[in-house]
Amino acid sequence: MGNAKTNMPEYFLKADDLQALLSALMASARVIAPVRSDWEEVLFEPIVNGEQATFEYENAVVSPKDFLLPQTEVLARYRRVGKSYQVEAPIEAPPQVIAGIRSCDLSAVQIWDEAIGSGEYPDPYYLARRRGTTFISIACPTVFENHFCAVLDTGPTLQSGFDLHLTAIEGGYAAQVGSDAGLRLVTEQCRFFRPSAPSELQQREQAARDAVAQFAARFDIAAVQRALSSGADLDAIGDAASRCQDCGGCLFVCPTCTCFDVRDYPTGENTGERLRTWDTCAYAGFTRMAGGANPSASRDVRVRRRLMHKLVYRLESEGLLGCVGCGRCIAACLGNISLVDLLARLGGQEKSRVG
Amino acid sequence: MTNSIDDIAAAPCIFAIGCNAPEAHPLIGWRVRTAKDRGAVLIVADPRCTQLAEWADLHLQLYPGTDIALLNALMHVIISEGMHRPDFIEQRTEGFDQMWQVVSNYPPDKAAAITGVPEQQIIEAARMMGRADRVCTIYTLGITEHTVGTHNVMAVADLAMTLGSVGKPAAGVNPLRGQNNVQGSCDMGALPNVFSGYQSVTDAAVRAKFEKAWGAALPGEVGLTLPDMLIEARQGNLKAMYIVGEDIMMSDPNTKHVRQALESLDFLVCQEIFLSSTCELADVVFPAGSFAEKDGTFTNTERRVQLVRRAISSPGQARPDWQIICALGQALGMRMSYSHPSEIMDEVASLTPIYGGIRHNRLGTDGLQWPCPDESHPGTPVLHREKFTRGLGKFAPVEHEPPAETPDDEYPLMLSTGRMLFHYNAGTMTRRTPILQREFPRNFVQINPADAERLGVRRTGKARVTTRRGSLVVDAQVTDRLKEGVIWMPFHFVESPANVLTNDVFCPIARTAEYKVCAAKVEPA
Repeated sequence: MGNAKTNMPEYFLKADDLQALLSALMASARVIAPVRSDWEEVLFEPIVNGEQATFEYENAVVSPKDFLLPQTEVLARYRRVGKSYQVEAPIEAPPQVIAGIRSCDLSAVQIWDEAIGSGEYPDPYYLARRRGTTFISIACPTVFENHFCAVLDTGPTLQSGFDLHLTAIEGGYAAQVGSDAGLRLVTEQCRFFRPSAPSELQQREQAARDAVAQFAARFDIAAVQRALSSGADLDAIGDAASRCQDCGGCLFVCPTCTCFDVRDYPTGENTGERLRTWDTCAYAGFTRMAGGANPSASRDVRVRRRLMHKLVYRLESEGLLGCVGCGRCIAACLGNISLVDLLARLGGQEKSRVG
Repeated sequence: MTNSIDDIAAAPCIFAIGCNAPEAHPLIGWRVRTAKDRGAVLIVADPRCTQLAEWADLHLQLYPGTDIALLNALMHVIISEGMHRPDFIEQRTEGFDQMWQVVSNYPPDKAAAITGVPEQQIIEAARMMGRADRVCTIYTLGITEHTVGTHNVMAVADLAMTLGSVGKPAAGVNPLRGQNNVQGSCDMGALPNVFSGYQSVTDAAVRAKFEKAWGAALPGEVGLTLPDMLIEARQGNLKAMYIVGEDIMMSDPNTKHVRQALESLDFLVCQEIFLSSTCELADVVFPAGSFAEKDGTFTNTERRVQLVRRAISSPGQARPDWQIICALGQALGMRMSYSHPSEIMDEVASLTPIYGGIRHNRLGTDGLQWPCPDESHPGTPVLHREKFTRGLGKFAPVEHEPPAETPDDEYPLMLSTGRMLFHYNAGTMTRRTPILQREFPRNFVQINPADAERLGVRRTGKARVTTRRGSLVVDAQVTDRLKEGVIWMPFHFVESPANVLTNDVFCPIARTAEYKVCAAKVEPA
């Protein structure tokens, strides 16, 4: 993805051909797609056959973040030789296609690109995987429970940021090319694509309008930011803090979170691994000092910090909001904290019905 | 549980006693939160101001070991004010009048003096329960881990019957079991007095059934419970132990006593996923596969038998428990050859009426709740709907008795112990998980600010906690979540294990130890 191209061509892909396309792509890349489990949950998994993939789904339980920023990753392996250490830092980044990713989750990738994939010290592990990844995203036909992407302009469909973007229309998909990688994919797999007819372009645009129209209300993000930044005690924050049970689930399922912890693990008497694992600022230990002092010991502080980071600090440092409106934190919360209601309250509305 | 987990979310009134669900049972904490968000009334009885207590409409902060006085007083108010359910009591129970003879001696002012809960709060809690259409009672180890643990449970059941809240949805008497399969272990007869499905070993017909199935003679006497085994081992009467998946050096009270018992054995075999403190004393250790490395079933707190499927293969020589047990049985000359755990489940079903209809191929995504007597039975979400197991529910009145140790001049504080969100029991798994370890790397003692000030314990300092059995230096956590005179510690930390302090006295009926209260003193360290 990356460079959003204007006037890129559009194609039509028959519904029946999508799974066959994925099978064909496996010749040169690992293909990751949404798969419905025996428990009726949809998760992104590497597939061995296009028929495993499903596109009839709301959203995956978690985003495909694991395939770019693994939950656990070996950064280096070390071996003690005499008095010194031999260190190797393997970066495993096989070419991969992530297919069926929703607009919100692909918008999260743009946040990672800004937060850890660029600047003075880009993350080489992330960058290697990112450069080897092609995204085939898919527009949402309607608003799903807890989703509020339309409020944040991260969905239900996308204007840019994708390699190939699919929108369901009659008989198949409108396929928009968004990058050189997308164009290459269509060219190499040309037997599955034909140029779109004008009526198909109209259908795609109509589908996008229909989906957006289903998002009923909007909340005022600027008002939320003002309330959060004021530093005042806010009842909405206090209420969320009283509900929070410290499980960290909201942030482990968040597609935009990038925080991690690094530890060395011995694997033998003279060998070991340096592992990086996901971490979350929902935990009090995240900022506890060695002596025990903790600037964010209280849940109020941690709930506010979570919102500040996502809605204020990210915008200041990366130019993008740190929330894509996927609603996973709402589904995961054991305290029934609804980010939609919380933002509505902070934005001055008592209750907002979004979707 | 008499009822199902989802019943909690639908309950109009929840009474939680000795139960810290948001930390010890987070998914049940979520159901309580959901019930509250739907308008339920929540009453919490706990010596600590836990998060559940913060959510409560009323928090009854009682002294540890005074549950019966509180429960009897609640019944006293409910009955005196005519809020009990005469129809239910008449049709479904017996012994109500005898119960009242005991309970009538517990007016709320008397209970207030014993429990430390203000009289008015006891009356208000009783009225909240009495006004509700039905009450869903949940309790955990705060009720059972006492010398009067069984009596505590009886009093909880008496209260539920007084309120007519048994045998219907969104109500019931619901002990929350703390481990994924502790219910299953009990169901399978990992108890000294029963075969699988609670069939008595003293019943000759039952014994004959199992002897025929297994082709072996079976003893007809009740065996030893864990505390009795340790006593018998120290006296030289018990020679060998085979301990599977339990780190009793961490989880049993009075570690010194446990160590002496294990060291008195001629032979100790342990079966574990990591080399635990108990394994270090063993002659032989069998490496076992973890939950993620085996096929089979777990039976959860709502009696739901759930299918588990192997996700990863075992490292090194580790094997699933069932394979180790079968290999051991074969070596001892017992025919135990199964190709898959589903065959073991078939055998369980053939010998165990409450599991009679449970087969792996029926468990699917949702499992089945026992009793499930035959293959067409859909399982049982709510127990005791038409009648109790014994017919009529029997009121079992109980008197308040103080804990085995109460504060005195030398040990003026009450120590209670328990669990926290970030660590699980003996810490075998969670203490090896770095981010969980970071959250709570060291043991600590919670102490009320007034006690801390009087004793000279500083807010960020260390404290020495001493009981008649041992002494530990841990971080002090000064907090007003505890009453004056009560201190609290978790028990997850192998390097400063709280169970060197706890009292190895136990309930004479259930043989569960009194982890929840003993006398202690605290000094700055």
